[in-house]
Amino acid sequence: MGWEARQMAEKASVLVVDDEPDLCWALENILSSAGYRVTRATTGQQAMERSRETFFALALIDAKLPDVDGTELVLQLKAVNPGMVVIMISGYFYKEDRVIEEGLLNGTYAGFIAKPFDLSEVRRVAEQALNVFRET
Amino acid sequence: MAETFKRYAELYNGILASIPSSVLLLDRRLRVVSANRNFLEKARRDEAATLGRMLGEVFPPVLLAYTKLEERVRESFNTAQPVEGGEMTYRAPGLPARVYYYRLTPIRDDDGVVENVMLLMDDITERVRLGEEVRRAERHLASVVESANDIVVSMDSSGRIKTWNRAAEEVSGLRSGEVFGRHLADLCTDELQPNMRSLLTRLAEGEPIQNTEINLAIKAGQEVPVAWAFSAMRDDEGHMVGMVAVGRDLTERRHLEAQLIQSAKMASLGVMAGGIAHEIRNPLGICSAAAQLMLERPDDSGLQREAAEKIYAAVQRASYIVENLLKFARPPEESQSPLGMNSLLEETLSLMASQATLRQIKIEKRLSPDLPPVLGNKSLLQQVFTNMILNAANAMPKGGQLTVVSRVDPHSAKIVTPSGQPQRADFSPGGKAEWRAPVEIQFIDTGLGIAQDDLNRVFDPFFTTMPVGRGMGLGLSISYAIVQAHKGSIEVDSQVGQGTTFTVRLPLHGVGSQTNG
Repeated sequence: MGWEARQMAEKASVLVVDDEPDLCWALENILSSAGYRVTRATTGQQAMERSRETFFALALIDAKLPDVDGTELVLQLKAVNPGMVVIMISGYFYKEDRVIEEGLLNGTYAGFIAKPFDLSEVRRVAEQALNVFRET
Repeated sequence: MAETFKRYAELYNGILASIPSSVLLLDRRLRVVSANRNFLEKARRDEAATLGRMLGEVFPPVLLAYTKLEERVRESFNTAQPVEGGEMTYRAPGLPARVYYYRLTPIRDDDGVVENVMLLMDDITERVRLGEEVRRAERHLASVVESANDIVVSMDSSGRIKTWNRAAEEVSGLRSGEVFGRHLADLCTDELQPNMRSLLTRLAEGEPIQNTEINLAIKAGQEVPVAWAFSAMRDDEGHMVGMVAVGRDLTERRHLEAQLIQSAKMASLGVMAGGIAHEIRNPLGICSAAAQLMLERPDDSGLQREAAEKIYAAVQRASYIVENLLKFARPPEESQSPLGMNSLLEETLSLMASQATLRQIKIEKRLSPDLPPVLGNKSLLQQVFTNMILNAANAMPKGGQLTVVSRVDPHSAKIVTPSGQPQRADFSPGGKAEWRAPVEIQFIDTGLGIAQDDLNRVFDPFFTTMPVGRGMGLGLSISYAIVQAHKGSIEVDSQVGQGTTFTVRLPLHGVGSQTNG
């Protein structure tokens, strides 16, 4: 990570959405130690409220939420926050699943992480997603 | 005088000619001196070829050899006594063989000297044939009973065993000789002996008896489930002369039922697998991330502690899922025990929770805290609940709410029997008073609902409105069978577009067996 990237990363606000509070805890620790500012939400509704209050450069969203489907939430969040980059996280899907491949291909989300995951992977995918965003 | 004798002689000849027996008159040299018309017709001989001929010329040598007819005729001459002959089979040329009963009668002249012996032959072919037919019919019936796959027991009107067929011997391990004269009830398992005794008494009193399941005690303390059908045997005047019980060994059927339930269970596991994988990958994700954080920051004691706690909690959660999964997949045990329905519902819901989340289904539990225990088979009832929940989930493809209610039926609780067990006569629209099991478990969904036409068919095997691959349509019929076996009931109520309610009613521990057929 170059100096410039670190500067960007330090400033980036990240929204973590997962109905598992402990997973939110883990993701917050992983990302905050890499310099991101992290906000948590455990439902789709909470995520919408948070994103109305704050601009998030990046959101990590669980594909299956109790109140709304992950993909559906991505579209709703992007409607409020057009510049947001999204990474999908799931304990249900794998990267090879058609839904995920399609979402990556059509740019609904910039990255995908399957549970369980490595910390380095989360940080790498997050950084990559933000880089891609910056370049476009 | 001579005129009179002549008239009598003619009269006798006339009678002789017309009687339906064959009559031959023989002299001391065993020559035929007279033969009546019946003999000539049956033997297909004319008078000329018969009169004056020796006995040996008239009958075939084989017949004479085995009847020893000539010897017996001589005996009758010598002793001047009649000889009871016996049966003979005689086949006239060109005719089928016929069976005769013959006897020999000595005829004396005026001086008391035996001049002639009369051979009288009665055609008993028909009688023999009828007798044989009766015996054949008897043998046929006996072999039908003997070779039947079902137990066939005949009893006198007090229930004492008279016949016990081979199937009965095979199922019970008791030989026919061992059970003869014993009461059928004595061969049943101890706790069911009074049932069998009272059934047979009622049958003997002329009451029609419904088919009933009563276990037979077999050797070595084991028992066999048997479904019995009873009937009374009556004579031509309608008097009761005995009773028949036909029993079917249900062991094999039970075995097949268990297999069917097990395979349906495995099929529902397939449906649940996605949800279960999700349910396990989440705690795995937490464990993995927390462990990596611990490695990354060995000096952060606060984080170390927090991470360890989260790992511990996640592992516990995952093993709870795995434990329930194993319990679910395990083949059911035969035994029944008092069960708390609430904990069984909780356990089942824990397996289905993520399935519900995945489909945006909210689960609301309204479980009565003071629910009395139900006597049942845990694994089978869990299968019922799983089917109910999966069914509700399938009815809500766009999400919704599933409310699970457990309670004591408020109506059934109004009448309390002397034993303290609540029960209630429910006069259903059919007009038949029904005893209603009091523990009520409801599954209320806000799904698509079931069309009125389909409502009657939902419990039919293989009835499904799901696309191919989304279930075999066995879930509800198996649930129905399981609840029936628990002497409970299962009902469905539905409004298209509003949702469906399935109500399972189960009897309390110790009450179910007293349903009055």
